[in-house]
Amino acid sequence: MASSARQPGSPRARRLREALTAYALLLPAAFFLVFLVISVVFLIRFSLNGWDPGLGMYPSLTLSNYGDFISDPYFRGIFLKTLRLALVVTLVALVLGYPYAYLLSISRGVARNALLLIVIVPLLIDVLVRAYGWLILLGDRGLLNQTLMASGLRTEPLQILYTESSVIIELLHEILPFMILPIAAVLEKIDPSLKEAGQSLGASKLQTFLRITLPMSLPGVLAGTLLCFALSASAFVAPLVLGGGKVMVMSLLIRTQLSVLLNWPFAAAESIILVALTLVILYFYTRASRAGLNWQRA
Amino acid sequence: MKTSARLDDLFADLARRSISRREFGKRLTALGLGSSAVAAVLASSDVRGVAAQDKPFSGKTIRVQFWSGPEGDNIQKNVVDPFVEETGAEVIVEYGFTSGSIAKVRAQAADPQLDVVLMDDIGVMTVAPENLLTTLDLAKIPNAADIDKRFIVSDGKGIGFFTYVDTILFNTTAYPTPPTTWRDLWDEKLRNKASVPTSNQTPALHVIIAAAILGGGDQMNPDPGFALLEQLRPNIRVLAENTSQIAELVKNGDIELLSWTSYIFRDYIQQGYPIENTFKLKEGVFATPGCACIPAGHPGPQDVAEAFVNKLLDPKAQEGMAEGLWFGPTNSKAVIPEETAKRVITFAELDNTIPVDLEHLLKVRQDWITRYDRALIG
Repeated sequence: MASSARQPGSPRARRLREALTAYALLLPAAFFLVFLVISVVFLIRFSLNGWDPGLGMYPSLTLSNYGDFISDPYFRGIFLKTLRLALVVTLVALVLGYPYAYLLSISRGVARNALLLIVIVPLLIDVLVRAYGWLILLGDRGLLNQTLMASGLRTEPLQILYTESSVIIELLHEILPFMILPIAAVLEKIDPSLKEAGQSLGASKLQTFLRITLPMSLPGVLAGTLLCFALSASAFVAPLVLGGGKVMVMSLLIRTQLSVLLNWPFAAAESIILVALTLVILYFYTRASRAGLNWQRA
Repeated sequence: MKTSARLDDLFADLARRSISRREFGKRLTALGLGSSAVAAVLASSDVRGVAAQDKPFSGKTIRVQFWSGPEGDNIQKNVVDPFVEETGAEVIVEYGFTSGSIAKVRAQAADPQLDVVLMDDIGVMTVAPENLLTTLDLAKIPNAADIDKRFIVSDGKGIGFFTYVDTILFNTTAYPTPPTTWRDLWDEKLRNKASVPTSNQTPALHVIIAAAILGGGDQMNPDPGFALLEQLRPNIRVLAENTSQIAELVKNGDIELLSWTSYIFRDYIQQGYPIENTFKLKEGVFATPGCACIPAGHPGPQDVAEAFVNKLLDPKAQEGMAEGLWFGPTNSKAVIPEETAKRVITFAELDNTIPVDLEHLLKVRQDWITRYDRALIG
């Protein structure tokens, strides 16, 4: 009896059991999704409300918050600056992160563990602590300027703190793991025999990399750039601490509207605009990238 | 019966109030415990907890909201802790700055959860017209009789219990004598060495008004001020938001002059940082009262809420707050030591502050914040 109870059932019952297991594994995702959807619905509804400086938010169905944002060159400028910053950070992260990911993928043993640790450690440090670390390093009397001046490269401190450059540096530190790890994961899965086959057919190492490794790693590049762009576009701490109030981006603009002016409808509209346009950009980027991948495969 | 069992019975009797504390002490002695042991037992936390039930508000609870950080610590130490000790009431504290308190009072309009809210006068003026606050019954708040009338806000829906000042602070190394006018911020020698607050803080609005006055306008006509703020941009090293960050910049000589709240660097000044403030500016400075109010329909006992507000207005509490974080007193009977008096705004100095039309400010705040950022950040 006991042994027959452990017997697998019919193929249909097995398929059903497997499907149920798969759906059960999706439960945590569904849990988060429910709250995300509820929040977004509230955000959209709030963005259609009206606002009065004296009375706060009042129920309404108006698109004026979106209109006010889009028609004002100041707000548009901040939005474009946010996207520009995110783009620069993503591109620099790709340039810096790809070689590191490649090195990580071909390393073994202690070297690999050390390289992996260097990537993961920033993720274990609170973003605020990291930002304050950069604040000290990049200051007029920080390590960077002390080194530059001691080496005679500069006579005056380099004014890097409280500029876009310092925000970009901190953001790079923040997002590089998200670029490196997906690329490394894809690179490690490339069958070495493919590269060997290429080289045995007379291809140089550079040709092998350009014709085999790089195209096959593009899914990792796609995942890394998507993550980095989304994280950079919504970054808050880096511009807040290292921008010194002089680098205005969407997250800071939303904070002022939300928590200072209590203009929740306008803050909600700004949030929706940021998320929606970022998603649109990422959608077209993904489509273009996949089209490129398919073309290469063809 | 063992001594320990008899002790348990005794404590139970005391807790039920079936015996007095004196009788409790006598029975302890009768159990063979010496007078020092009796004193030690009576001073123990268990007995203090029982004794607290004799206090006027024992068993009653109020929920209060005020600022976090040094401001909150100052209020906790000089008002909440003594109030709990004296009255036996339980005070549950929630933290939030003025904007957060406004949001919370509004959000809880249908089901208020807070009994007393402490926030800037602009907060009181924001929610008072929405009928979210009660009019304070000053007859039940005896200390209110000693509070200057200018601190009665929104027809008695709020009452000021301290004042703070937005003014100019300076690096004492660079400025052996204090600056005398807001115009000094625009001095060409301050290229990249000045600072003003980020736009999300009320002191930023005061900078706009000061600039408007310098430019020949006023708070009703701020355009000349915004034009002047654009000229201030080359002088701005950083927009001030983080106290420790700015203190270090001043200490290192990277910032020589800035506009912010006067008490904000108290701890740093006491540690020897070269920072000072001045209240003697030709155009005047800006004084803001921190106010107490009681939300309409609050759930806790009215008498405890009123007693708490009364404690905020108590001269001793205000003296403590002045000493603790240079909060200017609003009670005319508060006696401030000479050394501290230099750091807090006095009643006489209040006459020389720049009056702010808060109702107007509420209407234009959104526009001003945006224009301030445009002028200083671009």
